Amino acid sequence: MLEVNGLMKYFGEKKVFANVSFSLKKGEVLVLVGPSGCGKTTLLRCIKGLEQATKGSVTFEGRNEEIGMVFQDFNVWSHLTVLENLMIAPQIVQKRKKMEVHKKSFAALEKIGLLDKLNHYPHQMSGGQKQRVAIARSLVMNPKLLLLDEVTSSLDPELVNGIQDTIKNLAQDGMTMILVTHNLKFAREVGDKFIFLDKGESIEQGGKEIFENPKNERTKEFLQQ
Amino acid sequence: MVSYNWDFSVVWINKVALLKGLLITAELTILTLFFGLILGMLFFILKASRIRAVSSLFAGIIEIFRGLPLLVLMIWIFYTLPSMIGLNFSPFTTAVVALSLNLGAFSAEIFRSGFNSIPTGQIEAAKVVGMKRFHILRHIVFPQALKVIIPPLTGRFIETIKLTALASMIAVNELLHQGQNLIAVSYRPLEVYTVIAFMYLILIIPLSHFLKKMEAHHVRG
Repeated sequence: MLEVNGLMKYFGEKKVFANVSFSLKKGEVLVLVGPSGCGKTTLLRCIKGLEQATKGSVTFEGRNEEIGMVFQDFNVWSHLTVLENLMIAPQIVQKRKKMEVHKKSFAALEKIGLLDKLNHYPHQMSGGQKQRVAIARSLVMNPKLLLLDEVTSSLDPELVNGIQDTIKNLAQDGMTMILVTHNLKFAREVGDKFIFLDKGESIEQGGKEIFENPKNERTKEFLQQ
Repeated sequence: MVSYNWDFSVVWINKVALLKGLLITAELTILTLFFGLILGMLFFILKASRIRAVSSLFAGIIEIFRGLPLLVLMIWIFYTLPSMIGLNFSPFTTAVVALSLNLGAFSAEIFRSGFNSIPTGQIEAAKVVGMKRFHILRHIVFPQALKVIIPPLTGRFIETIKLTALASMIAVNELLHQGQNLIAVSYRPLEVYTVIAFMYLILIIPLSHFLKKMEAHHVRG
């Protein structure tokens, strides 16, 4: 459902990433692994179309708004309640009926365990709760593909597990996802495919076998951390 | 204690003239709010222009009208414009123009601070779910900007009412000027100024309370 071919991004002269190619089938989870500043976030943004790639192609079988994206710093709309955050886009972008969106939003909130917070504003919630709202907001759009950009990086350690469980449940339900994470243990648990990036280059990619016997020297170093 | 024989009868006899002054003060205020806010929006948008020349031109214009004392601006428009470009404004029009330029310059900066206060992530999240430019402005940017804009803007509204009194200097028949006319014939400055002070307060205090209520309604949450 997603085909990325020879994708490359430069900011002026500076290379952000180069030669990224992969394909993703429905229900697969791809994890992008690598040190900070290796271009993972920009890669996600190029797939979503928030940024223009310098070269290469992204082919997605569907409409752009069917690619959901969750950010490191949540970006939950601060003037809207939790329920309003979930309900606004399906109604004005997808022109869906209010009743149906309402039902779907309730279901999503129940799933992430925030049904009792539906009339709260973001400033009344913890970071972990806001991040769950952001995930639910993507889900009510019925995305075919979900991009998760270091969604646990701005959270306190004790809140990370809740979000990771939410993501694991999504994977079990068959959601197609690309996620960026620093957490190797979590990556291994949830991912089907992996791309290791270093200094903007894809240094190794494949399935879970990379964790047992990495071929690239830098991948080895990275896995030993 | 200084003994002074207070006599308000002259005020009562001329109440119609004073009320007419109050009406003109209200007219000045309403027209200034109307044109001032339009100018403010215009100044704000043009200063945010991507064309360097336009944006620096309007940055300069805002600086000038914010920096000039309003009284100087008013007098300058009244006496200098006619001889410079042959443009002849009535005192009333001159006052509205000067007050509007002043309010426009101040509100442009208020609008700017409001719109700049919105984190880019809020807008990006809206793009991600497929909202178009208009929807992003209408549903995400505007409601959030309003919360930042309203408190300083209401302050500016009240300030505008007070500044209309400067129009008396170019002989606009607003409240202060009507009072001064009355003093010239009645020799009762203490009574007249006292009553005028109260009349300004009668105009300002209810409005200010009303605006506070609106503000509380919009800025909550």
